[in-house]
Amino acid sequence: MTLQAVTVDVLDPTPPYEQLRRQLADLVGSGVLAPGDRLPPVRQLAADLGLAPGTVARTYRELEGAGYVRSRRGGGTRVAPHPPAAATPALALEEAAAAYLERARVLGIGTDEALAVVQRQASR
Amino acid sequence: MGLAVLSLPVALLAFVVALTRRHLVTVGVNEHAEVVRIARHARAWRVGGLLAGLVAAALALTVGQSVDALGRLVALAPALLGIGVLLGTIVGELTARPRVGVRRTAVVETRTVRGILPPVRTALAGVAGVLLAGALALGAAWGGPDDLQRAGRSFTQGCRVMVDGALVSASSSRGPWPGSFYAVPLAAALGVAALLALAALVAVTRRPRPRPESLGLDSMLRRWSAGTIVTAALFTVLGTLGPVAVLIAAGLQPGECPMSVTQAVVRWVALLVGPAALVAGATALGALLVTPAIRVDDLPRPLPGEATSVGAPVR
Repeated sequence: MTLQAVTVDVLDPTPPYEQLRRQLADLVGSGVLAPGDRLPPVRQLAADLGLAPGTVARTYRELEGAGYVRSRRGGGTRVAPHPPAAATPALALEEAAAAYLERARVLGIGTDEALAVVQRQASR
Repeated sequence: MGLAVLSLPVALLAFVVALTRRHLVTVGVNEHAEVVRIARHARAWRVGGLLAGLVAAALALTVGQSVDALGRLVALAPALLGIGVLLGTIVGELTARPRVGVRRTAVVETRTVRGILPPVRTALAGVAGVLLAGALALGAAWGGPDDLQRAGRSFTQGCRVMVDGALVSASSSRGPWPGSFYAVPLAAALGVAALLALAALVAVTRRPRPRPESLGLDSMLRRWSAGTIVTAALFTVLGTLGPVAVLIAAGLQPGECPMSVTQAVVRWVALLVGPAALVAGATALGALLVTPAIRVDDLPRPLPGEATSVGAPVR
């Protein structure tokens, strides 16, 4: 089994809990994490990412509210039996592009320069 | 007692053999730097704990004998050594933290204590723990006061035997017997060691992961740490069980009063378990003294599970 990873960028304008929520929702929605699979314990994931446990707990609450996971006291957090349908890859890419441009804007970089960076990276 | 004495050279041989079996993994320069740093940090604390435990055990064996000539402090020596290793491991694992940068990555996995335990050693520690608990419980149940009325320090039997055609009362008393006099402090120390072993395993499990490219080595490091913890617990139990079983076997010698079937069975079990525990305990001590290590080399061999590259790099 290939281990999946989640990444949090503390300089990203998107709050860490939202970055985490989006990635975990993608993993569940795309079927990489199957119904019944267990998510890492809150404290473990928080320690691995250097975040406060409350941040990860909020992510899990949001995911539970959206129907992606189910939490049980003593039983941990598991992927729900019927999670919401996955976002299409095109929609996921749209979101990623929007997040990238937002990041560029925070850094004071214009849209044209940000697109040029993407093209430079693609041509490597 | 004779069998126990005969087992001492075997125990010494087992100890020397264990000293020669050292796990060493070589990684390249600038490879897995974070894991190497964590491994060295954790190992330094563990070795520090081991040295502190050795000093405490040596003091219990020497000074303890003069403080308490009846041997209660001496009996705690294996537990003190094990507790030292466990405390060092806990501090090392709790203070070993990978550096966090701007971009932080975590693997979506659930780490459990069960996942890092060495199965054979854990089973052995469990069996030895049950045997020791049984031996201490039995010792406390069968123990009686000695000639100075110290409770649970002697094995006393009373019976009526036929002498010259007449029934006369007879009794025999042997000690030292591992009754409540010794069993209570031993049980307390072993309880502390058990709690520390559990805490150490949880600390190893919860230690944050380093970078994802070092997952394999990090997993190996966790298994090593768990192995050392179980070995420390195993030494604590076996180092206590050996002498306790030897004392039980010595106390259940046939005397003026006939032994019951239960006593005879316990004596034979103790005769076998005592020497076996001494040999296995010596092996565990040897394994504790040569904890696994990571060596950094400019031409490393592939790690277990990695594809072997053909040929040597061009320099």
